[in-house]
Amino acid sequence: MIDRRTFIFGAAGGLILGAAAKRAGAALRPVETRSLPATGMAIPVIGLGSWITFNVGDSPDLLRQSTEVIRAFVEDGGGMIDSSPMYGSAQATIGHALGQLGRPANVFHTDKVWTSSVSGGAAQIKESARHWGVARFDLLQIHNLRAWEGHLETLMAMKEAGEVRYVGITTSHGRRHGSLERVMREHPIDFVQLTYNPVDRAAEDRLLPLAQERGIGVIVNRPFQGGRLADRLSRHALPPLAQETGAASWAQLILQHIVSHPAITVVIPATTQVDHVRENKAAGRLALLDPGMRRRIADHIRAL
Amino acid sequence: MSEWWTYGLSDLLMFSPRAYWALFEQENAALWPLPLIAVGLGCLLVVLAARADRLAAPMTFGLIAIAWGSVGWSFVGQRYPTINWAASYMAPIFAVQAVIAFAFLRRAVARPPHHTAGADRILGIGLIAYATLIHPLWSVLFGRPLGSAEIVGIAPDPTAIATLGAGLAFLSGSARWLFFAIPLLWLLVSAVTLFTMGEAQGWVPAIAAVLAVIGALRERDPEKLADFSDKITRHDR
Ligand SMILES: NC(=O)c1ccc[n+]([C@@H]2O[C@H](COP(=O)([O-])OP(=O)(O)OC[C@H]3O[C@@H](n4cnc5c(N)ncnc54)[C@H](OP(=O)(O)O)[C@@H]3O)[C@@H](O)[C@H]2O)c1
Repeated sequence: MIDRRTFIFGAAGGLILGAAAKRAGAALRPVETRSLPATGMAIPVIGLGSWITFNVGDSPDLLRQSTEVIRAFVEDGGGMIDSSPMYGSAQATIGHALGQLGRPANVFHTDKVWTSSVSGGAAQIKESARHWGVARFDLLQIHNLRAWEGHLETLMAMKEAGEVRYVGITTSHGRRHGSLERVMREHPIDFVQLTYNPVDRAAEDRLLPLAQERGIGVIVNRPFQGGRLADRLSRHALPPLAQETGAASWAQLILQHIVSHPAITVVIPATTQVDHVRENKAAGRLALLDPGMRRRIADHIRAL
Repeated sequence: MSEWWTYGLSDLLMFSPRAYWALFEQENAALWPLPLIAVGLGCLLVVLAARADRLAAPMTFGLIAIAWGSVGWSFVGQRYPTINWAASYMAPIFAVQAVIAFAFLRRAVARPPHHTAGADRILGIGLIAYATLIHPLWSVLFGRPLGSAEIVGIAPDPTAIATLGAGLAFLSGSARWLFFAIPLLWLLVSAVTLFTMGEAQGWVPAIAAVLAVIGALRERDPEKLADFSDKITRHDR
């Protein structure tokens, strides 16, 4: 089901990738991509989150820094940028950056609906699109299953009308997996978003196999546990097994572990740092790991 | 539907320290040269609390009312919500404190209060002086730009601390606690926010609030004292 094709994410995306490669003075290996189960469209496995990191208000300095992060992301293949009306000014920051960067074509615009008022959903989506500066989103998700029955109707109708390409539903921190499973079984959604990393592996039991079975794309949030896992591991030396996998850092080892699960479509680490975007993106070019190596990594991290 | 209670505080915090501290830089720049004038008015508050003449209390309450009104309207009502949507819900609470301070101004004009004496008054003057002159220095001491200094009358924390100082200097009994409630609540919120962000500066609002509460608990109400000495002298007669 998961097809790992070499990637050209639209013509403009290819051009930008080419430009970045030229600037780097070397042939940049294309970023690993996954086909979206529903349509076969390819998308880079390393996306970009925006919780906290892009909530910078009107600060010109921080808007500039955020733009540089998004520039690095776009130059390195782009892909999914995920936000939500819950994230303060993050949507506006992304909109600002995309405007500055000339609206790059290789961004997979991903947002959420987050309101307990079902009738208020459409207006909120419109407001979100205004912040992003886009006419429509590639993917709209129901944030934390909030009022999901009603919003799902709205989103499906929008999809039918061509106002959004894909529809999904999110959770995090391992919450409400029972409800999520029910939605996945009973409704034709394109994506689920959930927390998954070498430490938080609750999704492995039922949700990831179910996603594969039903052809639902999986977006992984909190790969670094909101930074806590990355901080904790930074106090330990990178284990020798990283030499076997090719990961140059803990962050890369974690991302490599995550995207090597065959059910995963994209992981969306958030960062404020250009170096970290590049490092994370580079993890998408590492070899995929077999289940044995994935187990060794998880065991090693758990034992630390 | 909501499962908020299962989240830790750090899961709910939606902004980073760099975005939080940048707010003060933007606010100071947008209002310049008002921050400078505000420091001057803070110094005036210190002088008023120290002199404690007939005009001191009404002027102090007037300045405090203006400070809460403007901090609530500008920083809490407009600047802070750019990174924290919950802030817009806190702005009305600042308006309430402005109204409370205004009520105390009217009362002070009609019936000049007994100025508190002794340790709590000195602590009050100290808190106002701290809020005006020392608190802005934390930005630099913690390695942030001077432009991001938190100024009394512009930023909420020093405004709340100066307000507690004024309460110690000019009020007693239940009036003082009424005047204290919102500033104490704010300082608690601020301390929790800063600690959740991992900022050591969380100790500042926490300690200021505890000091003011200790000062208020230690008080001996001058009116009660007067009553008491009255009774004693009558008894003697
Ligand atoms: N319910 C939901 O729908 C939901 C819930 C949670 C998250 N999400 C989405 O998922 C995204 C990711 O989750 P998250 O932001 O909570 O957590 P995360 O991606 O696990 O962690 C972000 C933190 O990791 C650090 N980091 C990033 N790359 C790094 C690297 N290469 N090395 C070391 N540290 C690195 C970042 O710090 P630096 O800035 O220093 O790089 C940042 O503080 C969110 O931004 C959001 O878009 C959705």
